[in-house]
Amino acid sequence: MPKHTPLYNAHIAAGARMVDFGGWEMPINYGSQIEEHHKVRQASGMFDVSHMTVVDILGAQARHFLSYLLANDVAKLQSPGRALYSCMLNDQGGILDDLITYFMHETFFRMVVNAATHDKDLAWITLQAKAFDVIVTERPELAMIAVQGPSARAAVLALLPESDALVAEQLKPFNAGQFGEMFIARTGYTGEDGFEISLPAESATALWDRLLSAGVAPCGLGARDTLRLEAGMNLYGQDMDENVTPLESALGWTLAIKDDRVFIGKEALLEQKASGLEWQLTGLVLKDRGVLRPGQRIITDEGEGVTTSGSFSPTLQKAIAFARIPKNATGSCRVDMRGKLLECNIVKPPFARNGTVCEGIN
Amino acid sequence: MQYCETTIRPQRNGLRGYQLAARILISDETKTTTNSKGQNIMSNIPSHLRYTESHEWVSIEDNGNSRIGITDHAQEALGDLVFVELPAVGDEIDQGDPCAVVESVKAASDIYAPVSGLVVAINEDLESDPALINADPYGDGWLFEVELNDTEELDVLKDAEAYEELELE
Repeated sequence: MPKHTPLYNAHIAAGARMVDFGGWEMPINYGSQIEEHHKVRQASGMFDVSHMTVVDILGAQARHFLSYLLANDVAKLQSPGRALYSCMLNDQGGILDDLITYFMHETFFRMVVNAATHDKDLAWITLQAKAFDVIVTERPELAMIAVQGPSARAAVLALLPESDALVAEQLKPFNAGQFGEMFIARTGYTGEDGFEISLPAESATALWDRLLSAGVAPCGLGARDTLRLEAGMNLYGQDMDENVTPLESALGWTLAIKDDRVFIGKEALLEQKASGLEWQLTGLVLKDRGVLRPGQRIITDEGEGVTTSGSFSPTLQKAIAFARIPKNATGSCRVDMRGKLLECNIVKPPFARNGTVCEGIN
Repeated sequence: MQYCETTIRPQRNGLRGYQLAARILISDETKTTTNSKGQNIMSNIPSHLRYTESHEWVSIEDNGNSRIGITDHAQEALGDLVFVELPAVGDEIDQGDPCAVVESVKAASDIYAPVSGLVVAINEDLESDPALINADPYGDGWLFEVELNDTEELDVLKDAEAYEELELE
């Protein structure tokens, strides 16, 4: 039996096409994925992300534990509500998952991890936590709605009591706060401004319906994928997994590696840095007509590589992709599309954010 | 991050293979509901056409040629179409062979020739507007037209009733 989020009936009522997604029956679109994509770039859309896993880390050694568990440094989290994006690595430096950690207070940190990696993540976190004075608690009773787009924050703020709205309006990017039963974070996965809201499952449909009435468009996982691809954001299990490190996945910026902090995977990363990187994860724009897809062979002057994500970009009106190619490859390359070699430009993502094509993308 | 597992991967097994890989879950409940545009989700299967198991349709035109396209069910399952690769006028195609590709935002699918013959026309409007297939799969969204080698090949195709049963499987 597929799992359903608390918003399942709301999706059906909105005419969603449902697909099986890592054991969850989730909306892929509500009619047109491309229209939903444009809604988020130009106005506001909302996504049910209740399938994602919320894990609370409680206890006197919560910060100490996360400092060891994560490749980014929770020492950067000093004011309550502050959020940090990080990879969680294995001993070989391979990526177990990517996640966001929120600093609630000194004995309480909240992590949001991917749904497809739920079992693996919980097993790993619980195992590593044994050596620390912490309690690992999953929060399956929380639903999550991501409201994204240039008018998304205004739509949410209008639904809050005035005193809460005044405070929530001041939230800076990558900051969050608790407002009544809603935990509101100014984060997202689309390259647009917006909020991600966690709230009790039984309140999720009421919020969804109020946002719907306010003109926020329901958007499926299809649009979420093209939005995150345009925004230059990796998808776990596709652009990265346990076989690659953050250095090979365009995530070097998320590593806090320079000081003497000890964390899982650090030794392997230092070794890889010392011996020199072979691969880069970068962006491609197809010059010809066609659609880039994951798993296509890429030929560069420096050797061959492969696309990891690829799709039609509704904002660029061209095919775009992420590809793992030899470190020094630049300029242009060719993609093997059903036996035909087509020309691509190698570019540095993001491709599009904040409603428009990014500088240098062609 | 904040996404799950993988996106729908491209399938190279044609429309049927696509469905197996990323099955659109149509429960009894969704069958009676309408989508966001107010259209009924139950797909449209015109009775004057013939169909294949791989979700192509075939018409018999007044001049005896056949027009070929993909069914409403197929366009629905694929989602927004963004690219179409058609055979060239003058190509000979053989029944059952891949002869064209349609690509949506989420997947690429082969089109298998429902009949054998000479390609005499292609729908050039699809180059600039592949979404015509979504909007009007049996009309403006036709793919190409074939001069049949052997009209008996039409006999192995399904009628509307048999195709509907296939969809319901």
